[in-house]
Amino acid sequence: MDVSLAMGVLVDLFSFQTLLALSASVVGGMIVGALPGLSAVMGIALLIPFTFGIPPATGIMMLMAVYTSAVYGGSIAAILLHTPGTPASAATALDGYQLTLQGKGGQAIRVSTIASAIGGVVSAIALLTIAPPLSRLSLRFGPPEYFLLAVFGLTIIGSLTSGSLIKGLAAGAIGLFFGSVGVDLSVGIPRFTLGMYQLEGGISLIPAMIGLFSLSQILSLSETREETGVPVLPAGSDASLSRLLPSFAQLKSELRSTWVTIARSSVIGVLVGILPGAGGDIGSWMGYNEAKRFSKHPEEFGKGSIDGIAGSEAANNAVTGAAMIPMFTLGIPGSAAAAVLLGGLMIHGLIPGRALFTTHARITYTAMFGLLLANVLLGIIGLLVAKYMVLVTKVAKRTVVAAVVTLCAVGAYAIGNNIFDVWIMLFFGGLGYLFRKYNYHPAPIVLGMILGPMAETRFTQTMQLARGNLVGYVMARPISVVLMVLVVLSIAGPLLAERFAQRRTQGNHVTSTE
Amino acid sequence: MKKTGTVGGLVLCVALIAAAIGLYTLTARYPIASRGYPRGVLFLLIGLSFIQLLVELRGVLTRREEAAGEKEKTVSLKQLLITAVLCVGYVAMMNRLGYFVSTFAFALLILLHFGERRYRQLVLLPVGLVLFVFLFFTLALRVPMPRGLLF
Repeated sequence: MDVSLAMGVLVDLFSFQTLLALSASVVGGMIVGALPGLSAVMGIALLIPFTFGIPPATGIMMLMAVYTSAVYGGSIAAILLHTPGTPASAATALDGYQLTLQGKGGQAIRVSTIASAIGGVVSAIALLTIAPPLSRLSLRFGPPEYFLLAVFGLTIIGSLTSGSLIKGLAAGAIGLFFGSVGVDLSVGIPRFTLGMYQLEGGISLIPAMIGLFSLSQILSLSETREETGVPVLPAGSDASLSRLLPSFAQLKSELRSTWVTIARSSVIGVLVGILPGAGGDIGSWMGYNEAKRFSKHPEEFGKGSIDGIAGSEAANNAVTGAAMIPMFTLGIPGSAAAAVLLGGLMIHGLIPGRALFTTHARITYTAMFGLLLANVLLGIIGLLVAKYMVLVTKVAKRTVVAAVVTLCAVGAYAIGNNIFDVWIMLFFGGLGYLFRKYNYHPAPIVLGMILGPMAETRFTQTMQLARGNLVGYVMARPISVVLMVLVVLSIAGPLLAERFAQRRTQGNHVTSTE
Repeated sequence: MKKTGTVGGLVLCVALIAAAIGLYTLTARYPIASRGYPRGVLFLLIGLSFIQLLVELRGVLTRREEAAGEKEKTVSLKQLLITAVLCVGYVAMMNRLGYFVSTFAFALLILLHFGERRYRQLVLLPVGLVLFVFLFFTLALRVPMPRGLLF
C-alpha cells in the first residue's frame, strides 16, 4: 500500500461521520445479536438499504461492523440468560450461564468482550494481510475457473449451512434458477418474467435478501406462542454487572489466565473463516473444544469455565474478518453473513477480485481498516454498554415484529423507489419462511442468485473457447482441475462425515446394548 | 428422537418438483441458446427434490406419533396467518394510503394483534417508526416515499 493510499484511507477512516457511523453500527449489531431470534445475517440484510446513500467505504464498513458486533452481542444473552443471541454463541452459553449463576456474570461478559475484540482484531489483520496477495490469484482465472468457482461456492455453502447436503444443494439450485430470471443478454429474450416488465432486469437482489433473511425470520418469530422478551436475570447477577470496566490489575490477571486460549482460538477462527461456508458457529465450537482439550482443568468446562468463554468467543469473532478473505478475493463467501455482504458489495458497484485492491483500493482498504477499528470499538463499547444490552432482550415480540417489518418494507422500497421491490421482498419472505421451516437455509439461495448469472456467462464462454472439446480444455488448466477436485470434496466430504458418524453411533449403540 | 421427515417437508418436495417441471416446460419457448442453462438448473432441482422426497417419505413412514404434538404447543398458525395477512395488506395499501399512513396503521394493528393494550405504547411505537423513516429516508437520504390519499 503506497503512502498516498494510506493517507487517503486514514482521512476516510477518521472522519467524524465515519466514526459515528461505525459506533452506531457496533451498537446496532450488538442489539441485533443480543436479541434472541434475530441474527447477524438479518442485521446485515436490513442495513444494506441504509448504506445505499452513503459513500461505499463507509457503507461496507458499517455492514462488517454489524456482522462482528452481532456475533459478539449474541454472547450477552448467552451468558446472562442462557439463550444464545446467535447460533455462534451456543458454546458460550454452556459456561457463561453457569458463571452467571455463580454471581460471576460480570467477569464472564468482560472476558467475552475482550476475547471477542481480540479475535476480531486478529481476523481483521488476517484479512488485511492475506486478501491483497490472494487477490492476485484471481488474475490467473479464466471463464472455466470462474464457472467452477461459482459451482464450488454453491456446493460448499450448500453442504455446510443446511445440515443436509441435498437440501443445501437444492436451495443453491433454486437460487441459480432465480438468478436466471430476466432478459438473457446473449439473445435478448426475457426468461421466466411471466409477463412482468419489472422482472426483465432480473429479480432485485437486495429486496430478495431482505425477504429471505429478515422477513422470514420475523414470520418464524411471529408464529411462536411464547414472548421473546421478559427473560429474568438470575438472582445476584446484577451486582456482578454493575462494574464491567476492569481495573488494570483485573485486566492483567484475566488476560494472563486466558491469553493462550484467546490466541489459539483466534487462529482457529481465522482458519475456519477462510474455509468457504464454515461460519461462526463451527468456529466457536472448535475454539471451545480445543480450549477444553488443552485446558489443565477440562472438568470445569460446562460448569463455569472462563477459558470456555474465551475459547468460543475469540473463535467466533475471528471467523468474521477471515470469512471475507475468499469473498473479497474470489467472490466466494466464507459464511452466510459474508454471502449477504457480497450482495452489499455488489450494490455499491464493487466486484470481488483484483480490482478491489487496485482500482477500488481506497474503498476496500478503508473498509478493512474499518473492521479493525470496529473490533477495537466493540471492546470499548461492549464493556461500557453490555449490562444495558440485557434490557434489549426484554423488548416485546410485538415491538420487534412491527419495527422489523416496517424496516424491511422501507429498505426494499428505497433500493429502486418502487413498490414492486416490496412485493419481491414479501414473496421471498414467505418463501424463506417455508424453507426455514423445513431446514433449507436461505444462504445458498442468495448465493445462487448472485453467482448464477456469472456461472451462466462463464459456462457459455467456456463452451465457446473449448470448441467442442470441453473435457480436454478444462483438464489442461491446473487451477480448473484443483477447483474440480474441491467441488467433488465439498460434496463427498459431508457425505463421508455423515456415514462415519452413523457408523460410530451404531458402534456405540451395539457396545451399550452389549 | 431426530426427525428425518415430515409431511410438510414431503409436500414441499412435491411442490418443488411440480414447479420445476412446470418451469422446465416453459423453457421450450426460448431459443436453444437461452434454454440450456435454466434447463440444467431445473433438472438438477428436480433430481435433488426427488432424492429429498424419498428421504422425507422414509422419515414419515418410520416416524413415531409422539413427535407431532410437541411443536403444536409452541406454534400458533393463526398468529402467523394474521401477521402474514397484515404484511400483505400493508404493502397493498402503501400506494393507496401512502407510506406513512399505512405504516402507522400496520404498526398499530400488529401491536393490537400481539396483545398490546396500553394506549401510550399503541401511539408511541407507530409514531416513532413513521418519524424515523421520515427523518432518515425522506429528509436525509431523499427517498421519495409512496404518497397516497392523505400525504
